Amino acid sequence: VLRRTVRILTGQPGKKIEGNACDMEKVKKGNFFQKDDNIAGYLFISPWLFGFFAFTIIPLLASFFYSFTSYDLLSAPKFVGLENYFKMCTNDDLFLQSMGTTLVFVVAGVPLRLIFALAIAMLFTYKTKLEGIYRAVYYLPSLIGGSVAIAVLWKRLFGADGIFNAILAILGINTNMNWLGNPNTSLWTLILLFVWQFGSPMLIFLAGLKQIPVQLYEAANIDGANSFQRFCRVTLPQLTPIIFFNIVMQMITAFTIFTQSFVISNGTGAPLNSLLLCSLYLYRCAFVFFDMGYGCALAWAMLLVVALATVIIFVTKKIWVYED
Amino acid sequence: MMKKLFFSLILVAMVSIMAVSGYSKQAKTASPTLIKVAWWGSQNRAERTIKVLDLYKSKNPHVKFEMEYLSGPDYNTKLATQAATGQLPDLFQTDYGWISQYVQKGLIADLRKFARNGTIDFANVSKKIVTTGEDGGKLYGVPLGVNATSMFYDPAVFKNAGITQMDPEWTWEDYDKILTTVYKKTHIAALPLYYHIPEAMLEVIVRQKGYSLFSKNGTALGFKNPVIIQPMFQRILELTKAGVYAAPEIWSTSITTEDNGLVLGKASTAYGGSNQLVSYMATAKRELGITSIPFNGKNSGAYLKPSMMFSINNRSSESVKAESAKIINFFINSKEAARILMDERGVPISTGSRKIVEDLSNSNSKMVFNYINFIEEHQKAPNEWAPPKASQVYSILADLYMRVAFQKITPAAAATSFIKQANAILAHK
Repeated sequence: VLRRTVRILTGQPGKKIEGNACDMEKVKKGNFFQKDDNIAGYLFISPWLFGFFAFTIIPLLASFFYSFTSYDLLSAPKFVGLENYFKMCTNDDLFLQSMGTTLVFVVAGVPLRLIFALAIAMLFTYKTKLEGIYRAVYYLPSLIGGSVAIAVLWKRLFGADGIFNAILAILGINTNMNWLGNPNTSLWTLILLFVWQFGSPMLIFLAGLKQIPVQLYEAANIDGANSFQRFCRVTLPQLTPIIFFNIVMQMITAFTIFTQSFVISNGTGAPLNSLLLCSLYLYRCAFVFFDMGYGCALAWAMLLVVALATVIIFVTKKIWVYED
Repeated sequence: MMKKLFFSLILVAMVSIMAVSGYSKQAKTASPTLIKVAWWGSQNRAERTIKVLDLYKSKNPHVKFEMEYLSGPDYNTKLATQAATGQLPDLFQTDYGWISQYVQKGLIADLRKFARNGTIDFANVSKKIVTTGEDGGKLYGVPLGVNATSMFYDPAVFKNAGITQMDPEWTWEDYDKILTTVYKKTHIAALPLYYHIPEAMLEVIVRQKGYSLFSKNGTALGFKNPVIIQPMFQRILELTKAGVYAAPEIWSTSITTEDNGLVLGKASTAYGGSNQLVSYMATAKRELGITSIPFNGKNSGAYLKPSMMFSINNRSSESVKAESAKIINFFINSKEAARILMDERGVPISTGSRKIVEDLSNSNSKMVFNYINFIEEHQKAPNEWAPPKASQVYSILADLYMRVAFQKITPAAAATSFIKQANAILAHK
C-alpha cells in the first residue's frame, strides 16, 4: 500500500502538473520506472514468448485452419469445409476403433496408475533413513518412461523369449506367448508401462498426505478407528482435492500418449490395430499418408474429447471433492 | 537508465538478427555450384555415398556438397515438408513406390535432355531398367541399383529336412509342399509370405495372372475379381492353422532385420528385396539362401525394380541441374564409384559397373547377382509407378492380411473387402 501511494504521488500527478525542471525529472523517472518493470519482464520472458507463439499458438491456429482443408503438403491446401469432420464421424472405422482403444487405455490406465501411486506414497509416510533414495528410485521410471529406450526395453521384456515369460516359467507357467504381438494382450502391456511411470502423481500424493492434519488421525484413534477406517474416513476425504488434480492431469497425459505405442508397434498400431491409439492414428494420417487436413481434424476431434472428459470431471467435482 | 535500456534492446535485436542470418550467410559464402544431396539409408550407405561425392569433388573442385541423410520413414516426412516449403534438395533419392506424387506436382525435372546429350550415359544399361524411371515418355529417375522380390531361407534347416536343392522355377504347389515338409521334419515354422509388406507379394501374384496392381491412370486397382487375390489370403490361413507358418503373435510386430524370425534362427524363411540378403546374413551371422517367389505355372511375376533412384529438383537452376546429372552419371558409370558403392543399393545398372562389382564381391553377393540374372531372363515388362494414394492401400492390405492370420475374417471376405476399400481410396480425389 505504501509503495502504491508513493507511486501515485510521484507518477500519476506528473501528467497533469507541468512543474519546474526538477519536478519534470522526477516525473519522468517515476513513469519510466513503471514501464521499465514491464519491459524488463517481457524481455526476460521473450525467449519463452517467442517459442510459445512460434511453436504453440501459430501452429495451433494453423492446424485449425488446415482441418477444414484437403492438404497433401505437395500442393496447396484446398478448402473442403466440414468434409474431414464428416468423414471422421460417418466413414472411418479406424478412427472409431482408435478412439475406443484410447478410451480403454485412459479408463483402465489412469485409475490403476493413481492407485499404484497412492499406495507407494502411503508407504513413504513411514519414516525410514533411506526415504530420499527410495523416493528417487520410484520416481526414476517417470523420468525415463516416455523415452524410446524404455519402449524398446518393454518390447524385449514382453517378447516371446522375454524376461516376463521367464518369470512365469519359474512360477510354473510355461508359455512362449509374445504379449505385445497378441492383439488381446498388447494394449494391457502398454497400460502396464503407463502404470509403471507413477512417479509424478506419487510425489503429489506424498505432498498431499503430509498436509493432512495429524489431529484428525489422533481424534480418529481416540474414537477407536482401525487403520482401514482411518484411511477411508480421514485420508481419502482429505486427499480428494489432490486426487481430483491428479485425475485431470493424468487423464490428459494418457489421452496424448504416443511414443510408446509408436515404438512398440513400429509406427503401425499392429497387431490388428490394437495399439493404434488416437494420437498414433493421427500421426499416420498426417505423416505417413500425408493427409494433413484429415490429421489436423483428428487432432481437433481429440482435443474436443479431452475437453469433454475434463468438463465431466469438473462437473462431478462438487459431488465428491471435499473442500474446507 | 534510458540509454542503458536502449542499448540492451539494440543488443538483443542485433544478436537475434545475427542468429537468424548466420545460416544463410554460410550458404552464400560457399563456392559457385552448391549441390544439396539427400538420401535415406543406413550408416553403411552414408559412408559409401559420402566417399563417392568426395571423389567427385576432388575431380570437380568447383562443386560443393551439402549432404542430408536420414532413415527411410524420417526421410519421407522431411522430403514432403521440404517440398511444401519449396526447399527440396537439388539431387535426391526417390523411390519407385512414391515418386509419382512428386512427378505429378511438377517437382521433379525431366532428365531426357541429359540422356540425349550424353551427360547421363545409358549405353551400357538395359532399356527395361531405364524405363522404370520413366513416366509418360519422360525420364524422372535414374535407378541406382536393381533388386527383385525374393525369398530367403535357412539352408541348414532345409538340409535337415532333406531339401538340398531349390529349383528357382518352383510353383506354389511346390512351395506349400516344401514348407510343410520342413516344418514336419524340423518343427521350425516358416514366416508368412511378405507379412511385413504384403503389397510386394500382392503385386507378384497379380502379375502372375496377367494383371497389374493399379490401373493405368491410378484411380483404381488393375483387377476387379476377388478370386484373383483370394489364394494369398487362403494360404496364410491354411498354413497358419497347420502350424507351417509361425503364429501371428510371433511376427505381428517384427519389421526390422534384427527382429526377423529367420535372422533370430526361429523361422525357416523370410522375404525381402534381393539387395537385403547381404544385410540379413550380416545380422544373422550365418549362411542364408535366396530363391524366387514361387511361379504360377510358368509365370514368375517378378521384375527388376529400381531399389532406389536419383532424381533432380525441377526448381534448381540449369547449371545445378546439369551438374547433378553429371553426378548421377558418375554414380552409375564410373568404375571408381562402383568400387566404393558395390551392391549396397542393389545390383548396379550398367554392365560395366556390374562386372566390376561382381568380380570384387564375395560368394554371398554372387548369389544375389545370379538371382538378378535369373529374374532378368524371366521378367515381363515392369509395373507402373504406384499412384500417390498407394501407401493407404498398402496399409489396408497389411491389416486384412494379419486379420486373416488371426482368423478374424475369412479369406473370401478379406479379398472382397480389400478391393472395395482400395478402390474407394484410389477413386477419391
